[in-house]
Amino acid sequence: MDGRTAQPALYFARLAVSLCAPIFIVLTGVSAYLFSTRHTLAETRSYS
Amino acid sequence: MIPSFVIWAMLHQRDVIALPFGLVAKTTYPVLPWIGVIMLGYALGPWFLPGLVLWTRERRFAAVGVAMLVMFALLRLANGYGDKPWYVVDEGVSRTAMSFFALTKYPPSLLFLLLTLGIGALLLDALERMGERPVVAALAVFGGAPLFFYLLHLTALRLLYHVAFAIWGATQGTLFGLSDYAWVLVWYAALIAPSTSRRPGSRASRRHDVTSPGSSTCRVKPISLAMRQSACDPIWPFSARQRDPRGVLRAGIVMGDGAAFHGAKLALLCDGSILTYLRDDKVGIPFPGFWDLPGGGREGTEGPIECVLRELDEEFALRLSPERLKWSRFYPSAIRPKRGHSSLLERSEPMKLLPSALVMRANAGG
Repeated sequence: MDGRTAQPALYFARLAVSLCAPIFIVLTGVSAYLFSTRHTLAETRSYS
Repeated sequence: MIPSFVIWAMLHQRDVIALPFGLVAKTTYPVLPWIGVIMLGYALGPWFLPGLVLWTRERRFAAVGVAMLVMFALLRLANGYGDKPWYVVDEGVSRTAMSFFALTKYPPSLLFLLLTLGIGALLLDALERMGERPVVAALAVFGGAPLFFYLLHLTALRLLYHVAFAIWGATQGTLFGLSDYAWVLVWYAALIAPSTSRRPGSRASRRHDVTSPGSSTCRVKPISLAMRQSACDPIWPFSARQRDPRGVLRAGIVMGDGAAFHGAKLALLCDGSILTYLRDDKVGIPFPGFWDLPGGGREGTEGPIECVLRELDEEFALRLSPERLKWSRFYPSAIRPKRGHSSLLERSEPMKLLPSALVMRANAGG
């Protein structure tokens, strides 16, 4: 997105929702770790 | 298109890959950078283990968040790396800021991740500090099943789009069929509100909702269900050394000083048993999987007694009159010692204190 031409309201809405993907993926990693604490390595790999 | 480009697009470049039968696949989220992000989360996993005191995690996330934002600012101000250059625009600060924060998301750039994850770490810290407030419980509805809501919102928007298109035809205004961005915000509110309306605000639904994502609900132990209000003696001081003349350990309320308290807990004793419940064994809530006393976070401006009796009613459907409370004491927060947060737990060794002290008494009575 070009910050010089984009409509401000749209731009900032877009900026706010861009938090979603990175945080979602980080928390996916956290979840994988916590899953692994209660499962064996093989179970964690196959998510079973 | 050469075959190796397909691999490249999947790894690192957002692109469109042609498939048979005229279909296309978009590599919107190339995997290589996201593997790094998911590994970062995996490395942070130990911070969420129950052994780590909540406020230690809060402090760490606050530090990480600040560090990432500082790194972002330094790197961005240098204006020599990634999405460069940004401009100081004559039209004003807002335009300059928009140029400054215009970062590459597909695939995620280092600057993009420093900014978004830095904010994310600070948000996590802030939300954990807010504790068990209704707004946090409402957000937990979405946070409990993020992928579901992601797919749901895409599907819902697509359906709405087709319905609107069938009724009104192609774009009417300049902005998603609307002429003013304020209307877009109205749509946001209208779509989000129904998803959160069934939250703890309505107490009737909460009372028996034992598996809600909110952290204050509980699995009721049989011993507490068997307890009848009428069979309970008036509540007496709770202390290992204080016993009433008949030698029965009685209960008291743990509360704040009225002005600065954050929550209240009740020790309710009945025929030598103490009412306890097993907290949900979930990530992110304080003391998951531990036995706890009834009670919870303050709502609005209620007093400690109001608070604890409301929680007792909500969680156990037990209604006691305030006159039956015989004793109370203010304790510093077990979670954040610097702030008033009444709790039976002293600040140190919560793990040791909770299961041993409370399970034993509960079992002795049951």
